[in-house]
Amino acid sequence: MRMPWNRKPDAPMPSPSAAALAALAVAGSASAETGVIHLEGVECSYPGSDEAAISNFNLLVRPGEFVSILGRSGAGKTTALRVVAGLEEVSSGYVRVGGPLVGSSFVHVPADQRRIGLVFQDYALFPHLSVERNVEFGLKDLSAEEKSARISSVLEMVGMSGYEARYVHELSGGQQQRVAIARALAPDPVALLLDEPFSNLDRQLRAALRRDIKKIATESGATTLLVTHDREEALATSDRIAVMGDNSIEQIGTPEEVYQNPVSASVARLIGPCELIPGVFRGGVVITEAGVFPTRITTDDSIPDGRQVLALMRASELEIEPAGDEEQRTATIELREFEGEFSEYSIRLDSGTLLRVRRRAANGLESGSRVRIQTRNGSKVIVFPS
Amino acid sequence: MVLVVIAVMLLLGEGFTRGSGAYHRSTVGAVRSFRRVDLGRLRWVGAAVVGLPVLIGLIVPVGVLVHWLVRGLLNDQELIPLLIPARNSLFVSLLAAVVTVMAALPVAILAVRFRSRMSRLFERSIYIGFGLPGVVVALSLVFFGINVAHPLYQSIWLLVFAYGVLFLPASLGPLRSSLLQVSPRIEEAAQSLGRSQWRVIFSVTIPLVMPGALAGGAMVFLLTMKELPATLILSPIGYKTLSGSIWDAASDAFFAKTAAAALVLVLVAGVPTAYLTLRGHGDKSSVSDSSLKFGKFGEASR
Repeated sequence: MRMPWNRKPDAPMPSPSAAALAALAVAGSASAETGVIHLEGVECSYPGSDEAAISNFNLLVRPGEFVSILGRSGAGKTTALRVVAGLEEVSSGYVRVGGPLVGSSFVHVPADQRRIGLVFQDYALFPHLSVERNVEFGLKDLSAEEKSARISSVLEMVGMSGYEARYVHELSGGQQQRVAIARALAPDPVALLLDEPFSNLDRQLRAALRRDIKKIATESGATTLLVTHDREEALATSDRIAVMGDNSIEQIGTPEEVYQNPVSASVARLIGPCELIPGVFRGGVVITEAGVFPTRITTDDSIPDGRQVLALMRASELEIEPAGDEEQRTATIELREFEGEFSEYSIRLDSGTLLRVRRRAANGLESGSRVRIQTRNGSKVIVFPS
Repeated sequence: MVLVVIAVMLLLGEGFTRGSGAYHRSTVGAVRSFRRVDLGRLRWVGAAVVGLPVLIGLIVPVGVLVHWLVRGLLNDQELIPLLIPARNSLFVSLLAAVVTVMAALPVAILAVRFRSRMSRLFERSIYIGFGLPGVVVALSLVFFGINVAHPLYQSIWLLVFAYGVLFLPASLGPLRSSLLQVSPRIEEAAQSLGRSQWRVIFSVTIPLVMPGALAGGAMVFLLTMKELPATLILSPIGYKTLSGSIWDAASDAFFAKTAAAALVLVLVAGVPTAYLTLRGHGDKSSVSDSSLKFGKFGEASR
């Protein structure tokens, strides 16, 4: 580590407990085990609010990893990011950045001593400075030549060479965001934090910039923590996704793990488009109005027979076949949307719930016809206790 | 005292309507210009409605001044030399503007960035100065000067202090609103780039509120130029200012002298007014956002 972070010199130290001292002692060097960013049981609340914005928050980001925090708005994901950056003080738990303890109930290393690169949703570039001066802002202890070399190398990395003399208002949103990333990367931060960095951009630009950021993060080897409410963003960029429930992380894993084995109904809803329909769990199958399906359990606890459950229905995992008149548990095709190779059907259950099913476009089914719903290739439906 | 009470009540009302809203969210969309509506024959009525205040408020007084001046010149009235009062007025007003804006800045930062009941109370209490008549402030400062801060008595510093008390609220407004437009995210970004909060204030916040500081300073300058009671009471003996000269000449019924001093005052005070007005026009023409002028200041400061 280039610079060791010391305890905030003027921080009051009210005779720390044994556990606290132990935590300080561990605050040695960064390793794969402690991680670049390590939050343990962190609680943080805003002044004037009774409820904690995050509580019992645990997260470990390893060196070079790209981790996303996915959650709906108001879940506390931005608070988590601000805690890592040092913009918020925590009331309990331990925050480590690059190894040393930087935040707890008795230590707070301010943001300017944490060497964290921050990129905000609204870019937050300095409007009174040129692109070059913006990027230069965080550079310290370098000669003039080293500075200009560093500036041109990060601007090149984000594809903004040649814009050095421009001012912020002369740039498009996407360009501003690129400059913001260059500015954050210039001082060689311990980690790069991105707070909904694409949400002010239009769809096409968002996808392009997303790929570029992923590439930049990979090439520079920067440890990256991205906060987003957009599942596509999280799935496409991340090595691992941390899905937030209310105030804490519900599940963390690779995009595939989380998508295939969501541990709760709320995680399933966040990680992909789906419908959850009620049913009864009995003898390894779930009996619903849409049909009887074989099941799979992803939660830790087993589900007793006869228990009310929610069955996870995803468009890509379902199939429909024309149903006979006397068949039970059938549904009506309400709408067929042709998408080239596939068609997406909206199926109305008799209770009124709408399911979506993807099906090969060849020999399509007509709207209004009755169908039977099955799982594709006999795959199993995930159920959650309701 | 009655004036003070009324001012405090108005302040409470204003605080109530303003609530705790935050303004710094900037819109991304472009500002559209309005379509012209043809008023037809009503055009003349419209012009009269708009023109009348200008006629009464500007053309009439200036016309009268010119009339007096010309008549006095024709009658060979002796005009007092106005160079020294003009210089004094200019100097003391600029000083007051700079000192007041510097005093207002921490208050504005406290009020906008560190909201709490205390900071609110503090900000509000400053606005009371606006409700205080200049005479009241001046007389109390005379007492203060004689009894407590004797070295300051009969110095221009006490005068500048009085102007500060009177016009701090006037400079606080523009500063406050330009600070509200600076997103706290910008300051946080600066902090995460390794600058302490103090250094962020100097390297980011102050350059960004420069337009507001200039507007507030111009306002204080203007108000100080015109201020009469405090100037008369607190000016060191023999320290002539423009407003003082106007008063002296008018009370001796030398209308030509009055007019000459007044016209100089209008000219000198006109500069910051013109600056304020033209700046307003500049804002309208820079369609995309107001950061254009930040660009200019960035250039100038280097």
